[in-house]
Amino acid sequence: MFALETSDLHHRFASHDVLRGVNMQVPAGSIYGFLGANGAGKTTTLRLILGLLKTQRGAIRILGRPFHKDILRGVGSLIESPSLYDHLTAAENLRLLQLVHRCPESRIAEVLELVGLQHTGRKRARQFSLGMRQRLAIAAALLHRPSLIILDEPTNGLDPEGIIEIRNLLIELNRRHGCTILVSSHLLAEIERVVTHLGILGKGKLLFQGTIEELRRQEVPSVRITTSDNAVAVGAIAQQGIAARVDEGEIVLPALPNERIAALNRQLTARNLDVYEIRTVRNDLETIFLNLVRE
Amino acid sequence: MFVHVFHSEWLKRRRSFASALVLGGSLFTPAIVILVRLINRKGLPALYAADAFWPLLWKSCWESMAVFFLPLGAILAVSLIAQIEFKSNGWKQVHTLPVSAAAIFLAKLGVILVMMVQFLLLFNAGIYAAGMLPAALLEGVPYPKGTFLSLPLLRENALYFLDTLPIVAAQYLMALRSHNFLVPIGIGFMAWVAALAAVASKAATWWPYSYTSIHYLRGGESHWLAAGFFVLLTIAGYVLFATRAEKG
Repeated sequence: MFALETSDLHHRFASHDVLRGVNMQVPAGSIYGFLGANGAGKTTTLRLILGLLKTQRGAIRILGRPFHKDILRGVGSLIESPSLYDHLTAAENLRLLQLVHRCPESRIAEVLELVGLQHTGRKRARQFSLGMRQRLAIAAALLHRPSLIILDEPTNGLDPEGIIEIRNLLIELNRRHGCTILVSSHLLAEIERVVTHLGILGKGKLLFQGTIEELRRQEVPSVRITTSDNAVAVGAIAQQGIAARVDEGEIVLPALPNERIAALNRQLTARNLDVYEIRTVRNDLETIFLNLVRE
Repeated sequence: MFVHVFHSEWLKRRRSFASALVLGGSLFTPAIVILVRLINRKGLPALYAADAFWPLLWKSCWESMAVFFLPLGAILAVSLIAQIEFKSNGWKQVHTLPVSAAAIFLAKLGVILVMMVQFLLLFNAGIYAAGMLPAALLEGVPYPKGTFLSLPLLRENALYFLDTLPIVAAQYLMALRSHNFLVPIGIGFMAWVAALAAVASKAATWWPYSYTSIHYLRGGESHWLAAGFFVLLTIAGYVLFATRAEKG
């Protein structure tokens, strides 16, 4: 069962194709990290999901049903910067939403406590720090106990402590309250400790979708060699039928058995090349992500 | 559901400049009248003894209100109410609530109309105070004769309210679409100046910004036109609001 599903989602601004067939599947009960470089189309996708943009092509299903305003009863969201009424207090900002969602008034104090803003009293939102504003916006998204929470770069502008707080909050919401969470970011490191599933968006398409373990399985080890003359060495390696290239002062080759690496070393030294270093490199998640996005 | 959306919208105007404008704008003219009368006391006993005291005071207070403060107040207040969402980055939150575009549109319009009623009630209270206070504070000034609120005066209030509605609808249409609140205010101001320039002509009866001035300066029966423009501009405003490809 998917809490959120998009099929063949396309979107075009003027003559620019922003999304080119996004098929996103967010499993119910997951924390789904939606990754992509700035301008990859993450916010456009989220705005389409929430009905803030008119769907041009493709379909969206939320909580098992096609998009309809009523479905938003089960969805909490924070898109880009927080929507806060600066002339009102934190409780008053939430009261506006509590009236529309018709949830118990006691929820206001509950969510304020959950995000650590219970002592803000008569302080108006305009006097809040960036972190406090972000937390109040998250409180607004949680107020009506949604089963799907959509957060667009919720840690933007937060200090490291704030980022950890939000991270812990997401884990708690997911584990204790069973919420499905879709959280977008342009930094894998920021969300890789939290998410159970990942979707990587690049050039308007989903380049990867699956669990963190599945992404890890995509890692391709490589051999890196440093010699006294890398250009000559690359030619010599190529003669052995091995694709090699120079990257940042190192020769990069696909992973090879130890025997072949030893033979290669002998051939290079036989050509009077000094071999300074040979090592096998396993890519971390960040590199896999960057490679996917750059391809 | 609409009641809850309206209540929510009503709370947003708390401590806003639009609310302050209702208070300040409605009591400005009566406050000036009180001040002038407290300073220039000479002719007051004769003035307060007149049979037509209340209609005269009503007429003099409405002069600036009908021509200046009511249309300009409507232009400013409507733009400021819509601006609350733009300033707070609030449209995207409003549009992701499980509420129809019609409910959002009508709730905001409802808030503006209730604020207009507040404005007129306060203005009437201010006129009453302008009549009573000098008599209460100054020696030798009698209390005015007759009653302040009469059926014709209530009718006049209702007609001025009706005459302001086309301005409200036109400003609302523009304010919902414009991120920069100076745009609807600037256009509204120019439209009001055009109304003043044309008020003596017949063509003014077809200009939505002119009905309060026409009513005060020329009398006349253009109220049905005002109502018609209000309905037309409100429908146009809703269509433009509901059919936007990009919301928030």
